[in-house]
Amino acid sequence: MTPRVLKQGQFLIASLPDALTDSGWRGLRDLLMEQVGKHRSLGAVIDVSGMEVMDSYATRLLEGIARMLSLRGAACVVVGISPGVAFAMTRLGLRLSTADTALDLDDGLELLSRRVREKRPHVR
Amino acid sequence: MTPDPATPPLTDATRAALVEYFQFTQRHRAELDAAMQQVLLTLPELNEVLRRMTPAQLAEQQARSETLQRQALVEGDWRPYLDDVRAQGAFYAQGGLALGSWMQLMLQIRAVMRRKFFDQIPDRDALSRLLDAMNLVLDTTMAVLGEAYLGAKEKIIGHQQEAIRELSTPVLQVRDRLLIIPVVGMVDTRRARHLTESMLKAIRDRRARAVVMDITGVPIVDSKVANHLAQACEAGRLMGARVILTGVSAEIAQALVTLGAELRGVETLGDLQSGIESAEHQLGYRVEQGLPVPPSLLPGNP
Repeated sequence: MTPRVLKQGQFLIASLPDALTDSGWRGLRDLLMEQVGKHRSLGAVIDVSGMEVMDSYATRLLEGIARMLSLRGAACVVVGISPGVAFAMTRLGLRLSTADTALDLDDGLELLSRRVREKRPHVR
Repeated sequence: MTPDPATPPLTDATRAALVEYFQFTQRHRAELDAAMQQVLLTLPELNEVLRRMTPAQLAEQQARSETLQRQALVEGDWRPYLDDVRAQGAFYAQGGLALGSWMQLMLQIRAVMRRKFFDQIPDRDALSRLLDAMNLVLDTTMAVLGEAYLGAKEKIIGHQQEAIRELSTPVLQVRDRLLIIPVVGMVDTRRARHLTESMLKAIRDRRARAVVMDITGVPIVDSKVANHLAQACEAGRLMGARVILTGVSAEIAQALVTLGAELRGVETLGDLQSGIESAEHQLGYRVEQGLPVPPSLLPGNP
C-alpha cells in the first residue's frame, strides 16, 4: 500500500505507516517525485513517527528520496524518529546524512520554511 | 516435590550417620550450648546481634533451628533448613555483618563438636562416621550461607549502581527548548548508553532543539567513550536536535588526536558558556545585559 502524500501550502507531507513493503517504498518515492513537480513544492516532510524500526534498507531509501528531492530543488525533513529508534540507528551506524531531521511535524514545517528562506530568499 | 538443589548427595550410610549425628547433638545439647556461649564471647560482632534478642526470641529461634535440623537430618527434607540458612545469609549481608565472623563461628563450632566426639565416643568407626556427618552438614551450611550472603551483597551493589547512574546524569533545561547535560566522572559503556537514552527521552519530552553536553568533569576520554559521545550526538541529530559538546580539556584533546579518535561529525566548542551562547543564538534568544554593574560589585572590590 502506498502512503498518502498531502499538500500543505508550499510543502508536501508524507506520513509513513508502521511498516512499508518494497512496492510501498517505490510508490512513496514515485508519488513524492510526481507531486513535487506538479505542485511546484519547495519541500517535503516525511513523518516516520509510526515506524517502530528503521533498518539500513529503510534508511538508504529515505536518503535516496531526500537526495532526489534536493535534485528537484525541494528540501526534505524527516520527522518523528523516536528515542528508541534513534538509539538503535546510531548503534547500527545509520546516519540518514542527506536529510534534515526535526522532532515532529510542527518543527519539520518550521525547519522547511527556514531552509527555503536561506536558499531562496526571493521566494515568498 | 523436588529436593533443594543444594541438598548434599546422600547414600543410605550417610543418612544413617546424619541421624546418629543429630541424636548425638540432642543428647549433649546443654553442654554444646554452653560451649557455644563461650565461643560467641570471642566474636563481638555476632554476640552483639544475639544480645539484642530477648530470651524468648532466643529460645524460639533455638527451637526452630532444632525442628529444621531434625527435618533435614532425620527426615531428609533439606529445603526448609537451607531456606532458613539462605535467609540468615541475606540478613547478615543486609545488616553489614562480615562473612568472616560467621566463618569463624563455624570453625569454632567444628572444634567444639570434635572435642566432644573424641571425649564421648571411644569406637573409632562410630567416631569417623560422626565426623563425616558433621563435616557434611557444616560444609553444606557454609556453602549455602556464603552463596546467599554474596547474592544479597550483589543485589545491594546493583541497587547502588542504579542509584549512582540515576544521580550522575541530570538533564537540565536552561531555556525553552535548550537542555544542558553536565557529565561528571568516569564514563563507561553502560553509563554512556544510559546518558544517551536519558538525553533522547528529554529531547522528546521537553521538545529540545539544542543540547549542550559538557564533559569538563570527565577525567578520561578514550576512543570507546569518544565513540559513545559521537553516537549520542548523532542520535540527537536524528531527533532534530543539535548536540554541542563542550569542555574538552587540553589533555583530552591531545589524547583523542593521538588515539586517532577525533570525534568526527561532532560539533565541539570550548566551554559551557560558548555552547550555551551558540545554542541561544540558534534558537533566536538575545541576551542583553541590564544596567551596568556598579564598581562595588565587581570582583576585587571588598
